[in-house]
Amino acid sequence: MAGNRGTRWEARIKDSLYPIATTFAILILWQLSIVLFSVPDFILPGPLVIIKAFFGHLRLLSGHTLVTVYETIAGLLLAVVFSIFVSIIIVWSKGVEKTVVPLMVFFQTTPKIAIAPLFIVWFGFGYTPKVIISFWLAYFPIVIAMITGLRDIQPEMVDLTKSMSATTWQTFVKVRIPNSLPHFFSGLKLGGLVAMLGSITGEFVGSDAGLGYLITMANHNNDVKLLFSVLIVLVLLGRIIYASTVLIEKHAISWHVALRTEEEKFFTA
Amino acid sequence: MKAIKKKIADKISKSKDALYPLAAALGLILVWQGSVYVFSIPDYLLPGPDIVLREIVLKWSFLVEHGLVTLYETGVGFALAIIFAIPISVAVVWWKPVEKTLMPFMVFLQTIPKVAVAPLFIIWFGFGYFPKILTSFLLAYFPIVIELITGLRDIEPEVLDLSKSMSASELQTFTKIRIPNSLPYMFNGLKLGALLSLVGAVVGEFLGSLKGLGYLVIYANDRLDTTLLFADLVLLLLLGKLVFSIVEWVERYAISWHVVMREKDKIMFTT
Repeated sequence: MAGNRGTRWEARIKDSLYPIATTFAILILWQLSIVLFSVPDFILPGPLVIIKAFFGHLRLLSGHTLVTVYETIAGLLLAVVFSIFVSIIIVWSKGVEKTVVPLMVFFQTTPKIAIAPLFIVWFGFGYTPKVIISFWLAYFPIVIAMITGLRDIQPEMVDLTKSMSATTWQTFVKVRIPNSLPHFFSGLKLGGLVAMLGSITGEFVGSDAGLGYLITMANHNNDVKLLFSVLIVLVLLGRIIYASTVLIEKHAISWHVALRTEEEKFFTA
Repeated sequence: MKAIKKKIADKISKSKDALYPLAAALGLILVWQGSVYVFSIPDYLLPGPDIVLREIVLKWSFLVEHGLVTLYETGVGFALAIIFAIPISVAVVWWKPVEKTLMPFMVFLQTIPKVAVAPLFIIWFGFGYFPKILTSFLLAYFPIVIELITGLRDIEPEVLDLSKSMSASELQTFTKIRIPNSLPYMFNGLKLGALLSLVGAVVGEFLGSLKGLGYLVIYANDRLDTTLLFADLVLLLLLGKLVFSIVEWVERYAISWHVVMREKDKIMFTT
């Protein structure tokens, strides 16, 4: 058993060598070509210059990062709270399901982010419109995952609870809710990613703080070094948000995570 | 006879089901119109549906002109994504080292907001079509390539055993088993990719452009012309539906054997 685990780790480390080596090769090639062809910083700065700029702007970056993190988390929490309410109502009543679910599916094939400027018109340049946009994007994946999880129970389970004369309430608490948790967490993972996307795009459209604002500022000033520094923060932030939802999932539903065989795929913009 | 009756009953219940959301949508529009009228909400805050409709009719050619620009950017970005996704996915499935090198990058890139790179494209390539095409390509590429890889790679072991036992060559296994298996996955990726490429074009236009529906959104926003903003949003909604329906339509013809058997349509989550 222990030996098995050891070889598995070895294989994992060996596998991770490929992308790491490629990353290093790309970085070195990038730096070399900047030096060789003397590419100016305002077109493409080298990795070393970007790292220097990143640490130089650390104070500026951390201030704006906090704003974006706040908007993202507030939007995500709102989405979670709303999704729980709406999904329970939908699963409880067939009429509501038939009315609301087609409308939600309909909205899935529209570019939702395009509504962002409207929220700016209605709620100004502060945090509120960005929180709403984050909420708006994160809400759909979470609520639809919740509905699926609460509704699609194995028929055998339903038969079992019936044969044990469980009440509807008992079935809900003991069967439907546990069944919904894995779905909920996969919705939450995608929701976290798109919530961040929502706050950044909201900041693109109209704001005076946040990483999206910093990007538009850097864009207007042709400050490519700052732009790349913000991109580094965004990469880290995306990873952190995703990793925290994975961590919560691992603790909350370890019984499911350990057994899961299928790889989850998330596609974000 | 019974089967026909059942089919007719199914059809009736299906069209009955469609009544609920339609009634709800109609109700919402009526409430919207009613409250705009009753509370006399000014147009710059919330124009009524009648005013939005009039705006669409009045500025139809103007809206269509910008819509065509966005459609062009979306289409080219989407086409580029397909063209790049096919050889890469084949290479990943064919050679293990390519998979080990590329896949971690592609999975990694899924958890970062890719639209944030759009401003960089604007700095490099200016305000024309090209940076939007690139953004649209970047967003559409990943779902298509990853779904293709999954479809080409994840074959039922029994089927592979069968092809081996019939001494099929690698190429035969590829063309007769892997490619047909990949098609349903590919269309899932294409549907999502089409929607994301529209998002990419629109966000690209948000950041710096002189044409397109995304540009028009910002233009209307800057002038507090909420009526134009709503008209623009309606057009974007229609464009999303159009792009999605085209892919769905192609899917229905290309892999009808799968579409008929499929129990449920997969819900796409876009932004």
